[in-house]
Amino acid sequence: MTRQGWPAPDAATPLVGYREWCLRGLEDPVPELHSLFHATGWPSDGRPTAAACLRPATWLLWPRSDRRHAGVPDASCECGIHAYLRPDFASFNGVREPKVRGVVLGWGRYVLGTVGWRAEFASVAALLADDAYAPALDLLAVSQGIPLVTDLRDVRLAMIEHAA
Amino acid sequence: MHIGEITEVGTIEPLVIPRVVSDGDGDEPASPADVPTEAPERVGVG
Repeated sequence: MTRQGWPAPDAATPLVGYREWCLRGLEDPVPELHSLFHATGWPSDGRPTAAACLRPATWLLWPRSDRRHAGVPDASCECGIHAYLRPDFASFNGVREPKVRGVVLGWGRYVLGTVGWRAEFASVAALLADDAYAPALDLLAVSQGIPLVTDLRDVRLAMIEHAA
Repeated sequence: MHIGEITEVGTIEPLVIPRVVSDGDGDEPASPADVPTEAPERVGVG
């Protein structure tokens, strides 16, 4: 990723986080991960996803934030791809669809908090196995090129060199 | 979800990327995650 004219980055290693998605299309050839709160899906083929600020649609919920900001995410807003710092976060109530958890990597612009982060770009690094949705998760893991893990707390990450 | 109190704001240009090498149960190491080489299409918020 080249960004000529941008200031020097603050770090060269992606953020690591944990999050939850809706699992949709259980009977489809490749199921999909969707946001719990917004009508947005993540690519099922392993490509990274990128955040866009939806504040124009949700601005009334965040009246203190600036109406416009230069990039996503912004500290004054709630935009960006969200993840928790720790794998043992509470599940969200009110979502009736099947849910799945996983490990995500975040980079680009970021806002780091005491319990989580918001990032501009993210990709899925691993999904948590769940017997209730095993066939769908198997398909999704193969499509994403990522592993299924049995416990998010035991995930080990290793650094590899950038190929570019 | 809420990320808590903001402690840091910045930019990350990944020069190295982590990959999942084990989930602790003896499985084969996972394939490396795709290295992002260009900004992906913006599809929405997480």
